[in-house]
Amino acid sequence: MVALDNVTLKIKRGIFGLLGPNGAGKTSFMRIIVGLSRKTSGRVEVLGMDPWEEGEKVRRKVGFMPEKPAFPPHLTGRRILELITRLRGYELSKSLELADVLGLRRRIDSPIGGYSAGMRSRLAFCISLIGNPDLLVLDEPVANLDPLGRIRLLSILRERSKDGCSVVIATHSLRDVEDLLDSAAFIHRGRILDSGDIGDLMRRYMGYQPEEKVTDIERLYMGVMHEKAHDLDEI
Amino acid sequence: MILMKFELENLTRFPILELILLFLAIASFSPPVAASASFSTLGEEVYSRISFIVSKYFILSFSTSYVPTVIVTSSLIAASLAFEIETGQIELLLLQPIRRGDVLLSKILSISFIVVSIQLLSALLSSATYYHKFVVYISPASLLISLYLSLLSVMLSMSLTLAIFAVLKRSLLSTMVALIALISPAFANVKFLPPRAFLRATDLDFLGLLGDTCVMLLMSFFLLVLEYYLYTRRVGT
Repeated sequence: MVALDNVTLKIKRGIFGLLGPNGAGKTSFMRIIVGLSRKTSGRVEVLGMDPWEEGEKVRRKVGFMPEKPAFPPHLTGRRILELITRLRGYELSKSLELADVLGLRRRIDSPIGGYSAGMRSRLAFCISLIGNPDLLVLDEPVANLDPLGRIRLLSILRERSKDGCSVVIATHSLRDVEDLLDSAAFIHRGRILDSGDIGDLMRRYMGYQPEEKVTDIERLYMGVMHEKAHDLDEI
Repeated sequence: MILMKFELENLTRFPILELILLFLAIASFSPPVAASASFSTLGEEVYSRISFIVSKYFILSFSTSYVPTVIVTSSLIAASLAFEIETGQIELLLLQPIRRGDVLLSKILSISFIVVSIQLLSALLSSATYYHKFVVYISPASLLISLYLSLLSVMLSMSLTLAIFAVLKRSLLSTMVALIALISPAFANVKFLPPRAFLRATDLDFLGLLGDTCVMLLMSFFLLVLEYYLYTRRVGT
């Protein structure tokens, strides 16, 4: 089965959204750019390196948050943070500060087996930030979070982006990220339908004027899908 | 070192040691007749010298600790490995700036550490248990052979689990099939030792032993390569 087919995409600095229906190939794309999966053909470069062949170097500069993070259930949040912090050569105090900001303090010494899906997502996000990566790859980061968790996560992303960190987000929660995205790509059945700056896309598909700053990402999503995808029943 | 500590923490959450000790406690009340008989089938020609040196040790400690060590450790480690891959827990490590091979190496080293510890402990316990009945002679060679065979079996179990998992993608099934494959030859009295007819010469003992060692090393190398291939090429894809 082909998960991604004929995908040509250049992601610029800033916050980039990978948007598409279920099974479109978003997760496969992300797993390839973090070096968890191997491409069968083509060329992938992340920060100028091949993520599979030079995985160690790439992963030092990339933080990844999977959609369904899995942790050893018997270990505590603190133990996991200690391990990752040491592997990344970072300072534990800074990792624990991050955990505090993300609201993990209360449960940090409890086994992860007792964490809710939201707490696991917070921990996974915290882990992805360890070591100040140049690129953050987040697969459905807000899916399991409560409103406060979403606000914290999104504000951290804004801060990191201002500090020069690039962010790639795959999400269905379009409303949550519509004020966040600088550029986006729309993916369907493993193919990129269109991509570009949000402003350009809004002008092309929604007829917005350059001076208009209003972003309605849900309408944009439907606009691109209607025009480019031929099997709308599946969207 | 960081990874090994983490792996040991992971592996020792299973009551491996407790299970082995329980088995040894039960085994110490019954004489190890069956095990010594099965070992005697190997005590011909090439093996005569080895068996002379190690038979007592094998009867006392190897026979009581080898089977539970191999079965219990292999099953728990294989299940743990397959489960880690299936649930995606292994990705926590694969996403860190370390070589994929290092993750596998840390697993093998921590498993080896556990197996060696259990074997040494069980050897001591068995010796203590039977000391009043037999004169116990544990030579370094016999100990090394015993440790080596245990490690080989655990590695075989890991390789089989990984290989089956790569095809079936089901942790429980992979573990079961790997274990059946591992245990069946033990029941059929087929040892994980290479065929003795590998080398024949005038100095049968020396060359036979040398040949056997070479084959065993080759088997280990093959298993390591297989594990590395499956781990780096299949896990996470």
